[in-house]
Amino acid sequence: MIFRDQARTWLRDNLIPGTRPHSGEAMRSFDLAWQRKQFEGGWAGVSWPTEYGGLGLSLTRQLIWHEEYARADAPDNHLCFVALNHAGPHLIASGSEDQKRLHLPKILKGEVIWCQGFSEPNSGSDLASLRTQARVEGDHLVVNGSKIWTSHGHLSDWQELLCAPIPLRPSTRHQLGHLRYESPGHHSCAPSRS
Amino acid sequence: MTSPNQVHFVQCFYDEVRIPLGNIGGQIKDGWKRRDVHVGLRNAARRRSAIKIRYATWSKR
Repeated sequence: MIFRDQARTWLRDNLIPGTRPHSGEAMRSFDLAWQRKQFEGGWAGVSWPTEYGGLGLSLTRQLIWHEEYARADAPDNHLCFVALNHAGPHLIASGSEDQKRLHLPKILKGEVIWCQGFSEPNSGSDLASLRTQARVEGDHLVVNGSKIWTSHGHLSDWQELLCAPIPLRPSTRHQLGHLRYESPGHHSCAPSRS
Repeated sequence: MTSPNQVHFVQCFYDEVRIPLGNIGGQIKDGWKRRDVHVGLRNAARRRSAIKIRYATWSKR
């Protein structure tokens, strides 16, 4: 059976019935269940290297997978987007072995949701002017500030958080940390207004 | 994008939040390079999404 037929058959036979919920815990459960199903079926992480649990597909096969995914009208599991397409690949590219062991399997298995903490009040998406600050204190980063437009932050387990180190200098460069959502001092998120 | 029953975006506040140094991606003060990697990954992912949308639109004609 050629690859396209395999993808088409699996998607046809394994789509989760019903409409994807559009908000709240129901949406989170649905997206995680769909991701878990793809993992169990051997279809999670089509672009990830095989040594990290992905399929390591060629670009052509990735394209075929996405075509078949669209053809099957499979759910766009938005809540897993950041984990699968930003956090996971970033960890693969530059994470420590401990970070990879901790996070990558959970992302592929649909056990965690990640969100992105980049945009800020008064900075928007101009990441060069971030105001959220981080200082090193012992074996921790201590962070103060705020982030806006955090998609699905209230449903997430982890956040990719981009901060400016202090003291600030003209040549300052940013720090990227992974924040667990129940960290002390991390306030519950309020809906942003648009 | 915000309604009482359908929240998409949220605002986050950090007040002396302590993150273990082991959670830093890459090296300290290396985040700008990491951000570049990140934006590249995000754009690649968006292109994949665009492929899906274009294919879905085409296949339903």
